[in-house]
Amino acid sequence: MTDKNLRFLVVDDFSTMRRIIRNLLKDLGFNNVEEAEDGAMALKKLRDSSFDFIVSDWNMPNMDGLTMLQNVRADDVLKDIPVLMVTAEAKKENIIAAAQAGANGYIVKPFTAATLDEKLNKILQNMAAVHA
Amino acid sequence: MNNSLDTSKNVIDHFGQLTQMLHNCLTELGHDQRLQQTGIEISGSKEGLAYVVSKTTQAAECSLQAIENAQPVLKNLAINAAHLHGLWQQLPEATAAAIGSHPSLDNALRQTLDFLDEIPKQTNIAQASLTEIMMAQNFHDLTGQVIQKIARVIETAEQEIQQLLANENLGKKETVTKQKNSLLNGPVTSPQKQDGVYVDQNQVDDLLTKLGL
Repeated sequence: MTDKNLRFLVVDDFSTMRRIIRNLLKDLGFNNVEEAEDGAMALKKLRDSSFDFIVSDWNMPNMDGLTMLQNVRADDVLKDIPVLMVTAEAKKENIIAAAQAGANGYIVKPFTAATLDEKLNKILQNMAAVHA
Repeated sequence: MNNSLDTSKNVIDHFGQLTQMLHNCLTELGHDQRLQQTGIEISGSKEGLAYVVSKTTQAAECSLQAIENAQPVLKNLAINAAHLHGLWQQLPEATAAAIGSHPSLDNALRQTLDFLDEIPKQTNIAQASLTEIMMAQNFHDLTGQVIQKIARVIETAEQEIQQLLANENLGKKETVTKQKNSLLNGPVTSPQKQDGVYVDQNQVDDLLTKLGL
């Protein structure tokens, strides 16, 4: 059984997309959700408090999602937080770069509620298996 | 060596003369006025794009707000219906029998219970529709990214036209060229024209599997 108190950080420069993801997470029973509008703000929030899961866009001003992911993986405190990329960047090179940087999942926009549900659960199951 | 330098110099001189001729011809044809006109039109397109961004933002946010307002209403409706249904089923046996012996009352109660029973199913269908409407709002992010990209192109074109017009009076200046980051392309607008793009989630999943994820 998944812990519904997991703390999520949703990173996207479009407020509508942050709101959509927040609502989808709520539908899945996750109410503990914070938002950040770019990679730099996300890193600040990640360092200021504790999060269990990151859902991030790629193309954002100030710091993009890939750079944020690389920073997270290079940080001893943050490195184990799962990162699910949700982005319109759809080139093969993007997916490879994200995987190599240590992303736990990759969803191409536009996506469906079912896709987010499926990918999220897959990552959470993998987490549970690691911790078991 | 000197020969080749001379040749290069000749070519450059010749090219310079041609450019000057072209420049003179274009001036005679009134290209500077046309450039000015184009500059004004480009400025208008920028305003047009800003309008599209503002209207689509408003529309998406208005839809999301309406969805967020409607969701708890549906949820409460389902909870209250289930609660009422339960209350009616807890009637003392004697009362239930008395109602049962009264055909019109019995009929009304059965229909009420059926109705209450049906409400959570109906609200679930409505919730699913709300989710669909919500997911449709992702157009704002996708079109927004494309518009931002077009706005940057227009901005560059505008700067270049202003530069060209300035060159008429102030001589040549360096133009700023921006390096394209191949990992920041935004939404795919014409997948059939682009190689190596994965617009289908199944393709993405296949690739991730190959990458061991």
